[in-house]
Amino acid sequence: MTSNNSTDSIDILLVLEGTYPYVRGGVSSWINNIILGFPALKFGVIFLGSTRNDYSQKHYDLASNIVFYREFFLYERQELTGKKKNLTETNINNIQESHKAFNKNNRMHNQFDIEKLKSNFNITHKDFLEHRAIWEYITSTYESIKNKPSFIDYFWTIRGMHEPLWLLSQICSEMPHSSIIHCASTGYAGYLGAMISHSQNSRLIISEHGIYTKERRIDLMLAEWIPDRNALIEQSNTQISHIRSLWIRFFEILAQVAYQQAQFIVNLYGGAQQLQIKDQASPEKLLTIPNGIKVSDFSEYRHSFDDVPAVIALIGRIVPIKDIKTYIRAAHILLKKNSNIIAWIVGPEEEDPEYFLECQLLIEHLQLESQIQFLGYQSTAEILGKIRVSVLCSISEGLPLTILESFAAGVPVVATDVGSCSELIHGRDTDDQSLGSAGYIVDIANPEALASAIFLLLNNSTIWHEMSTIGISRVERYYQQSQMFSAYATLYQI
Amino acid sequence: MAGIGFELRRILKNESYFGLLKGYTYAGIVASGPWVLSITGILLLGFLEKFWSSNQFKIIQFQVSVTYLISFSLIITGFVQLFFTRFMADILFRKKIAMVVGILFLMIFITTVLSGIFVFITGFMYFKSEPEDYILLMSIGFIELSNIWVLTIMASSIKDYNGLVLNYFIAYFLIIVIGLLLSNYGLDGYLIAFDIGQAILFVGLFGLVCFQYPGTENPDLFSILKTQKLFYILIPTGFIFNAAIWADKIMFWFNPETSGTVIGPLRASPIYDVPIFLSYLLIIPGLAVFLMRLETDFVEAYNNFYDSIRNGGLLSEIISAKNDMISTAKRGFIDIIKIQSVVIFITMTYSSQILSFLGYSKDYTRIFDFDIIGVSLQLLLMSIINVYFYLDRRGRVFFLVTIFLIGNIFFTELTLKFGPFYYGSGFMFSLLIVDLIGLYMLNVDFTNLEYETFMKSHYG
Repeated sequence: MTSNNSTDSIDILLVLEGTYPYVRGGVSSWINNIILGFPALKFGVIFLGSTRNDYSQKHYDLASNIVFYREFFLYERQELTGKKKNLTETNINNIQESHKAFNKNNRMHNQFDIEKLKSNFNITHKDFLEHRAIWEYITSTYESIKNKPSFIDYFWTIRGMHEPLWLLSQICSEMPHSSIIHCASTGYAGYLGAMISHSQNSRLIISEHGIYTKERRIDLMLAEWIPDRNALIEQSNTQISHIRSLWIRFFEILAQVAYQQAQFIVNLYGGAQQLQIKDQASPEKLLTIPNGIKVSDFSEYRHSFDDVPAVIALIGRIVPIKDIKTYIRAAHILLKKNSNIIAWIVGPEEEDPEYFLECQLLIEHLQLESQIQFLGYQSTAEILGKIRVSVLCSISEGLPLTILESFAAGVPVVATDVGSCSELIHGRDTDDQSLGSAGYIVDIANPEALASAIFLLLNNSTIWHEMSTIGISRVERYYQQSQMFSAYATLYQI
Repeated sequence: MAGIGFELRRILKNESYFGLLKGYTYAGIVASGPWVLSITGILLLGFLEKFWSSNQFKIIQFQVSVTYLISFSLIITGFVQLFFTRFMADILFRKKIAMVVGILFLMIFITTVLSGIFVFITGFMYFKSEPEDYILLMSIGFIELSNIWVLTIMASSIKDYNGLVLNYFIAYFLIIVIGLLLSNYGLDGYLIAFDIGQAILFVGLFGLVCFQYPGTENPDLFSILKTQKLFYILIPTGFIFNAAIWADKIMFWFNPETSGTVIGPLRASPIYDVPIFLSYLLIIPGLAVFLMRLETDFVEAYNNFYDSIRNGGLLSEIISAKNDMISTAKRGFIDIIKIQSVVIFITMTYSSQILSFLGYSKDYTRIFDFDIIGVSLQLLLMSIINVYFYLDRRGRVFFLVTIFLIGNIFFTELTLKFGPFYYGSGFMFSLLIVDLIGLYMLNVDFTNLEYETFMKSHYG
């Protein structure tokens, strides 16, 4: 579990959930850049995963300035710690009061007692699992639900969502001191960061790429694994099942605790601020630091319209949130107009094998195996040197590096109107907007709109060259890696 | 995107948490059922011989010999009865039908080794001076009986009680017929008849199981043991239960004031044996109710309860299914108590007449009265244990049978001290106490059932 475990002082303790060093993607490469970008700082890394089996291979080598690395798995069976205690009525009342305070309306402007949360209300893990008073509390809470879910689902949901908290308290008590705690998301990681920061009295910075609570909301809405007892009824009046709303509320609370403890809450683009404020982040802590890339790495791959055939590419992990299926359907529409087009899908395929299979089946069904191709993980720069249009049709994004990289290589982008995509393509403020548009923005899950935007760029070299130039100047002016480093250097106070 | 995201789904994929909670049939019947049939057969042979033969002592020697065979084979196989029952139930639950016969062979092998060792040791230690043919026939009978108890458990796990009873009926019918034919050969003749009958029963029961679960798959023991949990507490539990049932009888056999030598080291206590074996015949009505109420109605209510959990019922639905299950169990107990009360009432009213009609002394009347109540309470204990096995509370069963064993030894010893007036009441009192404890515990455990089911079964 441990490596590089020299515990002499840590400058920055990164608390990461389901990302670096195991999972490839925007957040992970950003983390890698931050670590490599500050070689003089000593980093510590805590990786939180779901279960050990979900993470087979580290995709990043731990840099030499990582002096501390630990990994923990939240949904792995934990040794029961703590003895059975006599839970008094006070204990239970305490829980009851706190849960009342967790309700959405009561939560506004509520200050959480992090000390109390850290101790899990003085209830041991064993008590939580076995104590009769806890059982009675769970059942009485269940009885007060109006639209009751099935009891076994409710019970295991309550148990499953709370159980990691005991592991987190334990991790918190074992951590060496570090001057700054830096979390790359809210969720369990942000919550753990808040507890460590609170107990070590060190500064907490939260950098959110996507908005965790929003992503979980999407996960939960898409999740077919949550059985709805009255699926038909609930679909008809679009009511959220109780289990889903429990999870959503849970993640909102985790986020609120992290926001409360944080000194700075960093987002990548202005649009994310509203969401963070909605999740109870104080506006004065908010700060926008966009991602940056090394533009020079891509300049040699720039090309003109006629240098490459009519190839389009979606660069991203093959997961539902990237909505690969809409891309496939758009390609299908394009191919009906012009059968010479080639559509690539470039990115790691192992994260959600089931979804990957569904995409393959869709392509097979449309009989487009020769025109739509999965290339797996590839060097982004090299791919950009070979394509005419870069496509990103996610249903949720933060500030996607792919778009910046496409700009750097002079490739126009068609993207959906999520996260910062619109700001990237049309410009952030008036200065930025005066540069012009570096591509097109379309609605999510709309293959026709996506196809027609791509079609325009594929066939009009004038527009293409114009947008290509705009993209290059935007990324050079606003999204240089050096700008991001200096912003973080200020936050780290070095 | 950072976050655990879709891995949340794992939390609700908790099939395994409930995979283990399932019913398995405890063939409780073996603890009181088949050997009641066996005793009947032996007693019947005795009655018939009375009209045929003048050699009463040979008959008594035979009856006592077989009684020892039955009692000690039950105690010795007690080590494996419950353990095998559960193991086989788990195999059947996992639908590994094809390897049932293979596993059965293995169990027969283990039983034969176990009983063989017992026969070898006791033969050397206590039967040195007996004729060789007697030792041989007794040894064969002991090993046969041991295997028959194991086969009976397996056959009752199929719940083909008709087939089971038919097999026993045929076997004992043959024992009586052959016994009468060979009566000129005395004790050896009877024992040969007994061994032949048991051999036929063995084949019949084995056929019954094979017919139900045909298949030749070799059980891969190594992988089975790896994936299947074994419940070792069932080993002492089965032994203690059988030892408890026989403790009072054995104490009377070996108390010089209540017994006499019959053959070699085998002693008997006619004053105690006759009433108790007659009494065991009187639990048959209660046994029928037990099969109907607890092996059928209760099992159905029990399945409804766990289905209501697994199939996503509301807590109120789960609790109402639980209450149904409790009232089914209660009705089972009450019905057993009712019918046995009638039996007890009628028999006690006419106990001295019954005894003299059967040719026994009226001196046995008081013991007979105690014993009728005692065996009825034993049936009730069996029912309580059966419910506990369904609830998967093996520890509770272990506790109850241990109390039974200690109580039976303690109270029987007291009655032996206090004199003939109390004979038989030790057995009865020990059971009365165990039953009261058992019913009380069951009441508490039923109340806590959903709590225990959810909060104490984590991690399967």
